[in-house]
Amino acid sequence: MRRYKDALYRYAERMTGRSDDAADVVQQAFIKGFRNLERCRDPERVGGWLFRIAVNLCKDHLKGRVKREVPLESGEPLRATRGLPEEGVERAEIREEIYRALQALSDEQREAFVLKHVEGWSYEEMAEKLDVSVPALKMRVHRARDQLQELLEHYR
Amino acid sequence: MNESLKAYLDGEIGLEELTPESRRGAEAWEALFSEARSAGSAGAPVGLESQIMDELRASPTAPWSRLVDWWVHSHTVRVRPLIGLAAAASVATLFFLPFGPARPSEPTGAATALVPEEAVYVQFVLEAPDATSVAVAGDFNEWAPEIDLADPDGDGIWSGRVRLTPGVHKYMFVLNGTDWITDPHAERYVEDRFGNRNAVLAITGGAGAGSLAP
Repeated sequence: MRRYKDALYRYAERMTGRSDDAADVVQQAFIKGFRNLERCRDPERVGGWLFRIAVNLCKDHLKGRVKREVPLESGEPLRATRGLPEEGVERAEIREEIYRALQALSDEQREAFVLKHVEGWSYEEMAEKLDVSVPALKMRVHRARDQLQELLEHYR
Repeated sequence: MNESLKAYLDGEIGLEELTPESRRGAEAWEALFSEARSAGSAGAPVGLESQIMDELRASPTAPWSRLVDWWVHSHTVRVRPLIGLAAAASVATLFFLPFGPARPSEPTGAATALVPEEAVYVQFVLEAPDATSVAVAGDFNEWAPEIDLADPDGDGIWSGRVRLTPGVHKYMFVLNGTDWITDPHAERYVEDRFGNRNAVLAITGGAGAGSLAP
């Protein structure tokens, strides 16, 4: 649990945009994993198996939620920047903008973008675990990049 | 976005195949991906693990609850005869001291001889010059990182004695209250199903002082 909880939490937080929802997802993922342990075909890859459970839980979670509007220029900062050096503040602000821009993507685009470019999965892995074709995933990632480019234009 | 940059970002071609202009674009995207990896929290909030454990223990599927410890900490322990295990103690377990009443000198039954009842003190030692605190946690204390080691002379060598009963024990060190690390000098390790690598310490009593055993 110690090894995987942080990675699962980071993914869930990026996907749900909320720390309390992310904690719920991680908790459910471990409990579901525990109760279905016998279904894990390869114990050596239990991390990937848990991640897949978390991916599906995030998906279910987002389906049941009304899409929130996340304006890029408003909202409370995710993290306090007081006390950071100027460069640190700037980077924290950039990350904040990126985080908010990710939340502005559709759930499918955000899922595809995060798995591809943040978690570093291949399209083939994504296709297998999400049960979506590679061309469809590429399309989602391309659209996500296009939208991020537009949203974050002033940083590039 | 041009097609070659798109192909690069999709992992279909290498950076060297891009024109200088596309390469600049690729680098900008890589920087954005890198920042995206750092955006958000660094990890799960403190307390989530124990919350999950509480939930698992309270699970309505009672028979399964007995497996909770296995899920979190237990491993398939394959213990082979440990030859030369005096060295096996390595840095983690430098010596054992008998605890409790002296072993009776009269012959004892085989089972008693193999699994004596007396506990022993085990000295745990870890070199961690940059740590602000070091604790040892294992199956002998429900994996609570509460057995603090001490470094009174500030030389970065942390040590402490722990009373253990004979048997096979698994343990890890916890640096600064948060960083779980495997004893680098343990003789034997076991992996759990989450990929953690725990050190294994096997103890049985010998005549007089305690000793390591398979």
